[in-house]
Amino acid sequence: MATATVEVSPSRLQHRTRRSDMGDRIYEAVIKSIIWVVLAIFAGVFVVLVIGAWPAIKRFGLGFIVETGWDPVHLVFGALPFIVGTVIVALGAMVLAGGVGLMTAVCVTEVLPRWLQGPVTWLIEMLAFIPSVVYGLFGLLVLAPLLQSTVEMWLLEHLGARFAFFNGAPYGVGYLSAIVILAIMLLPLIVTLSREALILVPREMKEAGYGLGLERWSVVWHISVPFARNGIVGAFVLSLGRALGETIAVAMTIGGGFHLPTTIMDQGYTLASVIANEFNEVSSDMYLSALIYCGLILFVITVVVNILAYFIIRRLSGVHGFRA
Amino acid sequence: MASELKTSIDALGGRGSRRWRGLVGFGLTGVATLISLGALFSILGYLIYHGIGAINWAFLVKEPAAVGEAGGGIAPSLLGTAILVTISMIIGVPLGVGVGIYLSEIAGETPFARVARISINTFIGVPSIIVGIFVYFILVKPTNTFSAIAGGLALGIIMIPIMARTTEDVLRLVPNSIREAGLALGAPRWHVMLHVVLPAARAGVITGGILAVARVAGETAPLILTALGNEYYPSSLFKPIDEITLRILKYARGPYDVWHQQAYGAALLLVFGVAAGSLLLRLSMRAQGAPNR
Amino acid sequence: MRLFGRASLAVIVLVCLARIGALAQSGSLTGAGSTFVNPLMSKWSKEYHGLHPNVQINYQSIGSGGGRQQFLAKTVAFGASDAPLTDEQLAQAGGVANVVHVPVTQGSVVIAYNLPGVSKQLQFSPESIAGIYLGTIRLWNDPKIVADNPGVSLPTKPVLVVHRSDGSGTTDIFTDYLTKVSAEWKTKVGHGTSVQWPAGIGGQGNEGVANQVKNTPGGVGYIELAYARQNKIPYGSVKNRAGNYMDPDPKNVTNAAASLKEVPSDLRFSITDQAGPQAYPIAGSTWVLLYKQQPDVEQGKLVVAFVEWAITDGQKYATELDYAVLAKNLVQKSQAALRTVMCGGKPCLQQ
Repeated sequence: MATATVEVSPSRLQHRTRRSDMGDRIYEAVIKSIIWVVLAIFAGVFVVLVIGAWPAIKRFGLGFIVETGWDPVHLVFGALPFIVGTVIVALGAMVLAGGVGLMTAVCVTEVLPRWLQGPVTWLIEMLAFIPSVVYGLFGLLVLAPLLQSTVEMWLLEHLGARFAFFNGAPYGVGYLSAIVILAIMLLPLIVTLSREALILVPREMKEAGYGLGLERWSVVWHISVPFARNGIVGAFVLSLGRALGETIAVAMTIGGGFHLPTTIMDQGYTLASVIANEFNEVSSDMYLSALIYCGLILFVITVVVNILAYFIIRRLSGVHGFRA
Repeated sequence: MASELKTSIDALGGRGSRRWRGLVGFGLTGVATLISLGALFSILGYLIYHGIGAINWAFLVKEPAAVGEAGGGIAPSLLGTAILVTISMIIGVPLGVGVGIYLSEIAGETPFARVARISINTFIGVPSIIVGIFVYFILVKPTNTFSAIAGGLALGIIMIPIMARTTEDVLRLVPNSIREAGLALGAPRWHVMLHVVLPAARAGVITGGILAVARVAGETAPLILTALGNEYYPSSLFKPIDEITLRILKYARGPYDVWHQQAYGAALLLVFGVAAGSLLLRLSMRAQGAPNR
Repeated sequence: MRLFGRASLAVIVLVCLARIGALAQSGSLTGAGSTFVNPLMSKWSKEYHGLHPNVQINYQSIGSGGGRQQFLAKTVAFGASDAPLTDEQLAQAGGVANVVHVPVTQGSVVIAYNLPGVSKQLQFSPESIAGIYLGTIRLWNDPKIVADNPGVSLPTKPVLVVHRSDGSGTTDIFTDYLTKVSAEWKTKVGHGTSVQWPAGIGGQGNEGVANQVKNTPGGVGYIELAYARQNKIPYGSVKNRAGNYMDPDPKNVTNAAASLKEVPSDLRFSITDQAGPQAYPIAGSTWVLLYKQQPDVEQGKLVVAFVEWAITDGQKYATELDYAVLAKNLVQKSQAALRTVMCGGKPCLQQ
């Protein structure tokens, strides 16, 4: 419990008249104006996006969201490949990170001896300190060539003849690299939050299970994890939000494809990464407008997901005290 | 050793298939942990192995050499990062703390307060590239130049919701009794805020600030559209400026081995700088007796 | 702790102010654009900085598309592009009366490839190149490539095509060439700094394509010669209109430029697929884009002085970096164009 000393000398108390009311009014005015400025900035972001996207909105309408084709010469643009790409990369990474992360959290809380739990948790949290561009560096120069020479070549040689899905061109960069790198980026978030949720499981619950004759694994998997479900779901939802907005690491590893994916080794783009890679390079004003339209779609998607996440987590935190 | 192993497996309980399920289950969790740790060690390992050779005095103080030539450094990027972070703090910290104070102390359940709260929580998740687009149109285009100010502004805007959230959390932890004590003694609200509540929350706010800075120092996307990059030492806040993550991005994508090595070196500096900073922070916080977050 | 934070903040601010103060009189110019010319432009920037220590030419290679875009948005002092402004862009910038195209160098776009095990330099006919980039040629031992390379044993490996994902002057040169030599390419894809590629993946900048080809066995990409040579990436010779397989050496680029019968007055021209017997077919030029009325007088003087140096003294750095030296008549025309650039009513190039 924090302590603080109140430094209010008696002489100051005697001066508490109009001046302090004035002080309070200034204080509230300052804070209120800060809030207005900040809300204006947020609104301004939306406004700028709409204005910038307007030529593309007028030209392509809402069909932009379901059209494919990205032709800078004939000025035909459709964002569906990027929307699909965003979903594939985010969901793929979330599933991968969720599986590995949850299992890791279980191991840290249930298997590791107490003296090991702290250091291992701290180590995994270190993953969160690595900036996005360093993940991209690792993905581009290490992971992509590795995936190309091992996984992709193996899939192509052994399954490529029979299944079109595996019959792609092994470039290394592409959805596979992007999903793996993004999954590593999401790991610390999932591990930390799942671990916190698992720690909160009351001992009585577990002991009830033992009392009923359950063995260790069943107690963990059928009692602890379901009890911590809300926190774990919260972790997943937060990681989804993070995954949707990840830009640079994806931009460096996803290879740059403007089409819908057909094979596992395909390249693609997410909404965020296509903007990052193309913004300074556009060849026409309509191209720029199309990119900003993509930004607007991304903005809407993230806002919707974040609002949903906020309400989901508020509901969850009420029940079991999970605090995001 | 073998008997200890047997004791541990016995401790799992169960018989027959249940025991196997337990072994496999816990085994998988162990594998998962090894994967997680393996990811960390391999990334750090590559950074150290490839990057350590690049770090020398020239690397830290010289400007980049001509394309493909060896011998240059990343000094402008290091200085640029410091400048951009400073500008972002000047913008992000006051506005963020102010918003945090509002959410914790002043906001009620009015519709306006609800909207404000949801907006802040939502904006944390908005991708930074969008903020870059915003600043490009309101600052870069009208002033006809990429600039450090534009970059700092973008980073500052990104910092606001992060600072607001941390400040709000920390302020909520300050017991109400302290506020009431101050008010009961006759101090006006602003006085209680400034001289009672904020000092009590000081440790948390500083921690939040450092974490926000660490987060913002790793943001690259908005800088592509605002700061652009510079091969020379920053000479003006109204001109393009380089930044360490921009340089890593540029060098990682190029074909030159020299560039790759310098990218690894810069990444090494960045990661260990951020990690060391936060470790120092934790240690000093613990030394000061502040609550461990 | 707080004191430490405050102190370090103060130190940083002071250092910044000091540096800013020290360089207050310097000229810092930003140019952006072509990655094609980046190795040479960056060399020019360093050498010029050595001669004039208070002038910093900060060149950012974001691609010719970006260079033209930022030039039109007036966010840079000059743009550099291997593709001259299109007619629409020229109109947007105010027409020929408002914009000057100054050719500063010429170079070759090479077909770089990654085929471990094939040591002899490959030869490419226009049909092979078009087929590869149209996606109709999928394997390295396709009959067309085999026909181009008698006696060379080519593997049954997939051709992994790499092109540019950003707006690129190199793409413009390359697609200009393909449009001239392949009717199918002309109708299906066309010519521009960004096109809808039938096959392959995109790299960012010449740098990105070179990196991708270097790391991808079976890969093929089109990059500027300097990138291939500096990074020891093998490249092929290309059959020209006269039927000879020409190496992309700078002298063959000069041959291509010499074949150009006349240079238009606005200095926008193409030197791909020229008739000369020793001309390399995929050759191109890089232009510096300048506004005739320089908005900032001081900056204008510095920019024009730099460009003038680049096309005269600077040319000596071209050959060591595998670019072609500008022909004399082109230099004269460029200098004439530079003399029309105005700084506050007077020609920038006086001093």
